[in-house]
Amino acid sequence: MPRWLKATLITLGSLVGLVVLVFVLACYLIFTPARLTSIVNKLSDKYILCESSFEKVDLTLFRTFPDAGLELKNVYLVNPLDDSVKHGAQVGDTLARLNRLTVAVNVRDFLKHRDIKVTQLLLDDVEANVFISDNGTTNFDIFPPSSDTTESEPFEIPENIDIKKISVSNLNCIFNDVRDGMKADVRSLDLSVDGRWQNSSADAKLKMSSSEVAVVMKDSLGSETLNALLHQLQMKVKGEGPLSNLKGTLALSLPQASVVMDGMQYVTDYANQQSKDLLKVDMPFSANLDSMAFSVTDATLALAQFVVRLTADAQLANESRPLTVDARFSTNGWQLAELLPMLPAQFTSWAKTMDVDGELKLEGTAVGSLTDTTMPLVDARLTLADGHFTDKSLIPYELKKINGDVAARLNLSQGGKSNATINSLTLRFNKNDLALTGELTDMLGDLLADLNLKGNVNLPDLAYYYPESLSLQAKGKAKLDVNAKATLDQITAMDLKSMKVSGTVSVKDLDVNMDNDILATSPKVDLAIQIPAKKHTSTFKEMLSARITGGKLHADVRSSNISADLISADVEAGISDIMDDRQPLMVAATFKVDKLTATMDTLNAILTAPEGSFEMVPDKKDPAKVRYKVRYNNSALYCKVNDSLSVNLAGLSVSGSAYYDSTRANVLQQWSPNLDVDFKRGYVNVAQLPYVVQIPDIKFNYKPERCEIASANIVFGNSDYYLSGSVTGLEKWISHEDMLRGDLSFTSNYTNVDDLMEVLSGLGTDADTLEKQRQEDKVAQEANPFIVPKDVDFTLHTRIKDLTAFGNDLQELGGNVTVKDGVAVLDQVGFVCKAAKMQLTAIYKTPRVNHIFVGLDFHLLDIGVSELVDMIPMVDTLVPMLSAFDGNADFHLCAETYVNAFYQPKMSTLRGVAALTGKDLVVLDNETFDKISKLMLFKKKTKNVIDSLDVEMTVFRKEVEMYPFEISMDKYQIVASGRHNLNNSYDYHLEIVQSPLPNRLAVDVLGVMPKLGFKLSKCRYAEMYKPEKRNELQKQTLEMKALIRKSLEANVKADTRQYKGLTD
Amino acid sequence: MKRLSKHLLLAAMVSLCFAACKQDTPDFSPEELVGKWVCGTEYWRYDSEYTAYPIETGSTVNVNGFTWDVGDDVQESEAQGFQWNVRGDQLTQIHILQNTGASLPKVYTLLSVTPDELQYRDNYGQTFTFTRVQ
Repeated sequence: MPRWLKATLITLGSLVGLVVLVFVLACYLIFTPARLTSIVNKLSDKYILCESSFEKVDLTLFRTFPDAGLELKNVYLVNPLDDSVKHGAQVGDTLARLNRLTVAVNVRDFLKHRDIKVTQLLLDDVEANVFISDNGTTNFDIFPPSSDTTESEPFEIPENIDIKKISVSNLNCIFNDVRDGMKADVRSLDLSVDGRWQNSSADAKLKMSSSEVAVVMKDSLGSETLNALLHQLQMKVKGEGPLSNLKGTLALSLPQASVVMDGMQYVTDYANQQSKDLLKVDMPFSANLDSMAFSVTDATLALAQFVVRLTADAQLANESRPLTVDARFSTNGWQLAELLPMLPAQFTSWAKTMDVDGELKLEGTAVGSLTDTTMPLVDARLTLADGHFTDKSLIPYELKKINGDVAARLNLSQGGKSNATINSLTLRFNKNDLALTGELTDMLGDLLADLNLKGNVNLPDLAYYYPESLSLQAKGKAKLDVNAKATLDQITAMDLKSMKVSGTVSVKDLDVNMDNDILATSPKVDLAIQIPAKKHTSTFKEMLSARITGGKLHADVRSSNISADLISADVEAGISDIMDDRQPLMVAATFKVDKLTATMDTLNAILTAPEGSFEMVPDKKDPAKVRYKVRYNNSALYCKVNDSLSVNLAGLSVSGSAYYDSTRANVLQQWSPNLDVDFKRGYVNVAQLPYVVQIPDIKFNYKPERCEIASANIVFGNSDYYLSGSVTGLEKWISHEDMLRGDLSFTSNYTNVDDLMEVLSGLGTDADTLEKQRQEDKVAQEANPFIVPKDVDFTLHTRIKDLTAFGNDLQELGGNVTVKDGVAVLDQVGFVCKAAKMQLTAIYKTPRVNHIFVGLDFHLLDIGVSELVDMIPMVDTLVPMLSAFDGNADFHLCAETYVNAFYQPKMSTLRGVAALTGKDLVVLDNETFDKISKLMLFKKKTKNVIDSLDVEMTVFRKEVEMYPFEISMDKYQIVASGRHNLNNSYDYHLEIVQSPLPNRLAVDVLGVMPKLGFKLSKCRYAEMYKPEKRNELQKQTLEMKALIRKSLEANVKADTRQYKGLTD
Repeated sequence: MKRLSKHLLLAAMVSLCFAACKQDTPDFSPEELVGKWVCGTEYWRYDSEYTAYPIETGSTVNVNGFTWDVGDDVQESEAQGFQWNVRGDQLTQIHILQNTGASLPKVYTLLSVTPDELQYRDNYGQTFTFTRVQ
């Protein structure tokens, strides 16, 4: 700097300093505090209506340099209100007290233009008490009304505004607005505003801090709606630049606060205890006030450690455009465990029992306009990392490693739909893992979820969810892959029929134990579920279809002693809407198993390739009544009961339906089955039988009250049977309401009756009843008589080529066998043996085990005598001389007796009548004939032929009585009669009623076989065959003979006489 | 031969003499038999009224007598029926077979009937004696 310049400047400076010094001294000398105080107090009386006081007014240059300032100390404004205005409110009389009030003005403008431009306003240590009464009367309305009546001009922003400083320090203010129910208390508020507005360009700063701000708001009823307490609130706002490009920053910090709204605390203690500020905002912004466009760049809003970063552009709406927003936001990692305590307790009450954590991150954009119908479109992505969740009341396990990635698009515009994509949501618990992906459509409207759940779950970990009533233990590892598509309404209403669900559950090493009774194991079982059902039956609409397949399955039911093994089971079922309680559950299923092995107690069964279908459809009006359809086939069946019974079938087919009605009396009536059953190539091995029962084919249809046997081929030892016909009344028979009735055709090439009786013994009579009878009758255990079935009425129309019964062989049988209520009747209209037409009616009745009735009505027509004796040896006993004849005869026998349990006749009950008629019988050359011929002096050439034989005899108890009969031979006519006992003691009478001898001769044959003695006897029958001479006794005898014969022959059927054997 | 003829003639005359004689027979009233009689374990019941006796063919036959033997484990309810009548001293019993209703006649000669005892004989000389039970 040149010397001259330096000297000049020092000179001018000194001069200015001198002038200033003179001016200051002049001010102090002219504007003394006392003078100024007096002026101000006088002016306050004029311009302030309330009581005011200014203790000291002074000029200052140093605080307001370079402007001149007027400093007022200890300013008091006192404006007491009437009690009628306060209405009981606690209001002090002092409106305000300012320790110091400093106002600075630009001296140069004042001196040059007489303009008073306030450049600084400084308030220190202010105590204020502002009150607004319920009628709007205030205590700060202290200035007189303006007398200027000229119309004010519209406000325009001045071209220049230069506020160097507006400062308030240590402001304590109570604001009480009774009318609006608001009360505020501000403590230690410091406020500083520096600003300049020049040439449409601004440069302003605002700082504000307060040690405490308390705000209370009440509604019109006096209830507190807001109670806020802000501690250490600090805010800084800075802006500069023209209105078209205003830039600045906003910084706000609030370390602690309390906000109670409608009784709810919104700021928790936990939030206030954080080391970081409760609320911290750092927002750089820019604005174009011409176009009303605002931007924030990299702004941060932090609630404690939870930070939201925001970069956004917004343009306010005007008449030609709506408000538009283009924003990007992101958060830092929010730890859920720290976030939840930050939230009001009311919002997190559900989480009380939870231990939840994880790092949440949110980022996204919001772009669009805000109108009555549109909202900015929000795209957001929420991620959760390394989360965990524990709530023993919901899940007994800790959910760990929860990771999620969800992208959402929120379209809040009218008609818009907000969607979300769950890219992944994975978690682990124990050794299980689950993964969820999917789409959520129209989240804020009719939410539609389309989700996929995959996972690997150990079944023991699901035990917590089994019903307590179900004592179930399950082991195994399940692999899930389930898709579900449903709306929120459908989920809420559990409207399964409207949902779409499909998926598979594959379980390895399955081991189920239910109530320690039902046990099942399988190396692998697959379950596939689909809603709606894959296919539909015509019977009902299936909502759900499920398919279970398993390579091997073993199951036990301990209570029933059942054990089963299934190989390659495949069960597919369709189920009706299980959630619809207006309709009963309906099920349709098909099943196919390669092999089923089962045991129950002593029963063992092996089924090869069982397959079929099953359908259950309850009645809609009465669900207790259920309609069933069933179809079952298996290629082979083997069944064994101990070593006592085994059944081997090459094929079994069952199809039909049933209608279950629980109100019916017995099980058949309850089920009303209608079944077609077809057995093929069966073998039944019964231990008690010395042979295998073969069943080449059985085919029958069972309907309620009627069983139609289409064909039944059975091979029983050497016997073979073919049955067809019907059996009716099985339902009522089971209930003991009626007899079981059958009308069957019975065709056989060979039948062994003895074998049949052994099998059928006791059928229809329960074992207890039989045992009771045995005890009452004191029947030995060794006795095992055939007991005719009770309560049955069966008729067998027999066609038997060869039959063996009680050791006799018969052929060509045709007739009926009836079994009716404990009575068996063999009613053969005819059959042919070696030498006769025969008619046999045999009755076997078992009223008691030890009292068995056996009856026989036997007619042999045109039979060879020798065959008769061979066939019925007892005839030779009854008519000893019969073995001496040869030729054909008619033989009638009706006999009956009761036998005991050992089939021993009860002789006191033995009854019998017989008649024998023969013509031209040849007397055999035997010992008896020789004796007779010698005794009677027959001619040597006499033929041993008798013209006729007419014998009637009776059996009563042990007595066999032969009524007198006549034998004519040679020139002799002999009448014989007599009686013998079954102990072979004989008392017979032979009488020659016609002979060459002059007198008649009678011989009695007495003794015990074979030692018979002969002696002459009195004649009895000389006149018997001379009607005109016979006496009363002889008449009576002949009447008896006629009675016997007539009663016997009356039972011979005409068919028998014409019978010529079986015809095809 | 002449001697033999004389003997035969004599025998014939003697026979005729015997044949001409007729023995008087007592008359018994059926009412005297009505009641239950027993001999050992064997019971006979003579009723004054007829009872329908069921036959296995489905029909019935009227009977007025029943017999059973408890020694054979047969009770009165299981007794077998018969028809009986008395003419003079002839007791005719026609047993009805349950099987077909066939008739089995038996004829006896009554010897005595007292309130306590019944005695008859068959054509072969066997006598049966019963005591009244009721």
